[in-house]
This record gives sequence, structure tokens and C-alpha cells, in this order.
Amino acid sequence: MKYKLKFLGFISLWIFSFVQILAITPEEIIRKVDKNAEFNTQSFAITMKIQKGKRTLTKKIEGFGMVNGKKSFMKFTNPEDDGVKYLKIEKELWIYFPDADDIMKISGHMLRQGMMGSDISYEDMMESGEWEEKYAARLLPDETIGGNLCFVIELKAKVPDVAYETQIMYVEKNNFVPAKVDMYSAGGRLIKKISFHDFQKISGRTVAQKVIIKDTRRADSLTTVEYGNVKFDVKLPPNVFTKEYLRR
Amino acid sequence: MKNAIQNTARVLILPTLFLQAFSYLYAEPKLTGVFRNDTLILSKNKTGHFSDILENRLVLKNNSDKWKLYIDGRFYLYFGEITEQLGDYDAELMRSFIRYYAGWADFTLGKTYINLGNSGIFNPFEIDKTLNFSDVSYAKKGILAFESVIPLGDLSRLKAYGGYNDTFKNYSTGFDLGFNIKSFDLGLASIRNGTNKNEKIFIHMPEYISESRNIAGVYFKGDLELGIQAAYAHHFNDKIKHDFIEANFGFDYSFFGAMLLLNTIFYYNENGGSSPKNYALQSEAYFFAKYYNYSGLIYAYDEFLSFDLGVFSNLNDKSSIIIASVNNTIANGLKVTFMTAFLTGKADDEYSIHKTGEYFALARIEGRF
Repeated sequence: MKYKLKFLGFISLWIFSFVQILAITPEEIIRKVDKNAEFNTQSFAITMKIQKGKRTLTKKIEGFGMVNGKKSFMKFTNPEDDGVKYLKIEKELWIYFPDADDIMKISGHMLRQGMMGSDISYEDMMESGEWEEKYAARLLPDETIGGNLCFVIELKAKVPDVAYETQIMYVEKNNFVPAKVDMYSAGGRLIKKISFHDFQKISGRTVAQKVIIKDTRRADSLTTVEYGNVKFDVKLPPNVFTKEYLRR
Repeated sequence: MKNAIQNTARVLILPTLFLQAFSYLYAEPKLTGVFRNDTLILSKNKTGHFSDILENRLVLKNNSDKWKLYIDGRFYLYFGEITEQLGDYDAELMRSFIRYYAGWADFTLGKTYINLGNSGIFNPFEIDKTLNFSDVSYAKKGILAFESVIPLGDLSRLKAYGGYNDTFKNYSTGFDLGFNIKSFDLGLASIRNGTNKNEKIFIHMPEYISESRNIAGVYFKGDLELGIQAAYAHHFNDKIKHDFIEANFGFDYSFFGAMLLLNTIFYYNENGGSSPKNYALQSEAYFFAKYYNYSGLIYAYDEFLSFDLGVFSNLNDKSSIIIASVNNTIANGLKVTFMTAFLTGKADDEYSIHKTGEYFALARIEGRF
């Protein structure tokens, strides 16, 4: 009798969980994705490998972020670009050039440009989360990505100033993190494919340690971003998101 | 008064050197370098002229929480016909400064680059108005100056400076009060260039002037779907006479995910000549004429390969210099550029094939380590 009750309890719990997943709305899924990506402050180090055929360029970056990437600061540390720094606040970007010891404001449309010639744009790099706020979601049939069953969500822009009109996001069912995102232009052309790998738990969040970006407009090219030393809720250097900090 | 200024300048050198030594001792130094070789062929009167410039650059940086030391020294070797103008070699200390972060302000002392207003071509508030046609973003030489930047918010600040030219006989001082409002950087700037009669005007200009001059004006740069920028500067002497206007207006936009970038900027110098017969080198402005335009097109094919097309036009005599280049990044820090330029002007036009040559070709290899 005791075992029967335990079994029934287990079955009920399983059915309850199953029904809950079945009943989940696309809005709830992206809310969970957003929740996982939320942060107040963040510090990180990045190794970015830009590949074209057999040629590879390597960039090393250290940076800080605040309020889900609304403010971000990045500093290049590889010898060729040593001292080049970026400050992004909302949709504005400033670049510091150490040779000139001068700061230049970059026009907003240039945020779509590949950062340092890579497949990843300034927008891709510096924005995170807030999918629910920017996109209307629709659930498509599930798919398996890298052995993990995923929700497939079509995201249509509901605000004008987003980088991509439509995105298809593949969200892993077991931890509600994106495994892959395909990005489309307003004309329905596939522009970029981003896949996320090597997830780790950091400060309660599931964080990809490796991101692979393919810009479909660039033949035979691929950019791999490897994260290291990612920390959340860290104390940031004073005044880091100011123009004056760029000159340091 | 003039002697006092010269003495002050000399006295400033000593603390600069002391502070730089101090900074070196208290942080981790970092040495980076650049080598760049430009091979140039100029065709003039259908005869080829060969020159080669080898540039070696060493940059020493030393950063701590409170200090920054930065020294940029360059050594040039010249070959071919260019040695007739520049000799066999040259050395240049482009920067040598120390910066102190006090929290409420940053202070810079030493040989440092000072620039007010919007950075870039045709900026009326640029102190050094020379231009390198083969590389418009080539770093400009610093001046011996004391500069302070006081933040007035995250994106607002008051920059003020005072400095001397290489001979310590002329001085320059100025300020730039900059703000950020609704995606626009905008500000007020003013410069005073104090000079002695028969001395070269401040910094590099070959022209001579006989009185101190002042510049005051406004500038902005921002976004209205396309990038837009403008600057307006009024030049005048201490009696508010001999005044003239210098201004620019430009915009830029990109296509195909910013792979193709177009930009154009118009320039006006009220003091400039309206035709070749009254051109004279402008000591306080760019070039010779009243109206100019620079238009550029950059197409980034991929991470490694890009194409540039730039056209400098003198809108008074309708002559242009058209510069096309291909840039290829071979490996980390190693880039090659092939560039060619054509002139369209005739006779006495500014960009005249008779004065400068029919075309030039340049092969550049640049390595950073």
C-alpha cells in the first residue's frame, strides 16, 4: 500500500510537470529565458576567434556590463588592438583609439557592423535579454538541438528599434536557455545563426561559455566567442560607464 | 610676458619627466610596436618617381588605478626621391605624457594630442589642420601641454588645456564644454592661439601670422536615422576684427548590415580663395579654397578584405583627388594595402595633374606586435 501511494504520488507529480510544460505559453518561455539572462552588474573576459577559410584572427577582450547590457564597457587586450575601448550606453557607442588618444562617437547605424570585422555586431555583442519586451512570441513544433529537446519560438519584433525583424529561438526544455537563434531580416532572409555551447552554472544562471556566430552574408566565415571569468553582481570600477573612463 | 611664458614652459618639462619616471616605477610597463612600409610610385609628366618610407613605432604604456604613462616614439627611414625633401631619416616623439586620475577630474601633463569638437576630417577646432591623404586617420603629433578633463556627468565634461609649441614661443589654450542630449554629442569650444610676429603659427602650419587669434563656436554629432554632424567656428583677433567663419556639415549611412558605409562632409572657410588665382595657404584653416567636400565609401567584403574609395574635392575649381584602396588582413596584426590616386584638375587647380602628377600608387605593409 505504501509503495502504491509512493508510485501514485510520483506519477501525479510527473503528469503535473508534464502538463505544466505542455501548457506553457511562448511568453512564459521567453520570460524564463529573460530571467536567466538578467543581471545588474557583470564582468567578463572574451577570446574571439574570427575564421575565414584557413585563416584565423584572434581578439582578446575584457569588459563590464550593467542592467542587462544597457551599459557596457569593453577593452581589447590582444597586442594589435591593445587599448582600443568601447563604451555603449543604450543605442549609443563611443570608441577610444589609443594611437590618437581620442574618443569618437559612432553613428547608431554602425552598431550593425561586425565588431572588429567579426560576424558578431556591436548590437549582438552588447545587448542581452528583454526578449519579451521587444518581441511577440509564437510557439512552433519542438526540435532537438545537440541531443536536447527544445521549444522552438518565433519572435516577431513589436518595437521598431531592434536589430532583427524576426528570430527563431531554440530553447532547451530542461533549463530554459537558448541553444540556437536564427536571425532574419525584414524581407525574410536568414542573416545570422548563433549557437550556444558549454553551459555552466554561474551565480544561479545557466551561462554559455562558447558562442558560435555565422553571418550568412559572409562566405566561408565563422566567429567563435569563448567566455572566461564571467562574474555577476560584481562591484564595478567607479565611473566605468563614462567617456572619461575610456581614456584610462 | 613672453619670456615668462617661455620660462614656464621650460619649467613644465622637469615635473613631466619626474612624473613619468614615477609612473614607470609604480606599475607594470607594456611595450607594443608597429612597423609600416610605404612604397610609392608617382607619375608626373609621364615619368615615374620612386620613394619608400619605413616607419618603426614603439609605444610604452604603463597603467595603474591612478596613473597612466604613454610614450609613442617613431623613427622614419626614407629612400628614393623623397630623401630630397625629407633627408635620409627622421625621428619623432609623438606622445610622452602622464595622466593622473583624481576621481573628480583627470589631469594630463606632457606631450599629448589635444583635440576639441568632433574628431575627424575638417574639424574647425582641430589644432593641427594638416592632413595625410594616404591615411586620414594617421595620428597627429602632440603638443607640450597641461590638460584637465572634469566630468560633469557620464557623458558630459569640461576639457581645458594650455600648451606650447615646439619652440615655446607660441602658446595655445582652450576649452570644450561637451554634453550628450538624446543621442547627440554637442558642445561649445573655444581656442586661443597666442603667437609672436614672424613666428610659425601654433604647431605645424608653415604660414606666418602677426597677431594672436581666437576661435569660438559650437558642434554636434548624432543620429537622425543617418549619422549627422556639424560644426561652426568663428575666428577673430583680440579686437574682434579680421574675423571669418569656418564650418562643416556631414552625414553618413550604412547598408547591408553596415558592410557598406557611405559618408560625406562639406567644409566652408570664408577666408579661402574662390578661384586658383587667389589661393593662399590658410594658416588657420584647411587647404586653400572656400568650399570642399570629402566623400568616402567603404565596403567590408569580409573580416579580412575591404575596399575604400575616397574623393577630396575642391568645390571652387572643381578639381578632385580620387583615392581607391584595397586592404587585406593577412594574419593577426599584419595588413597590406594597395592604393592608387588620380587627380582631375588642370593648370592651376588645387588638385592639378600639372602641379602634383597624374597619379600615384602605394603599397603598404603594416605589422603590429
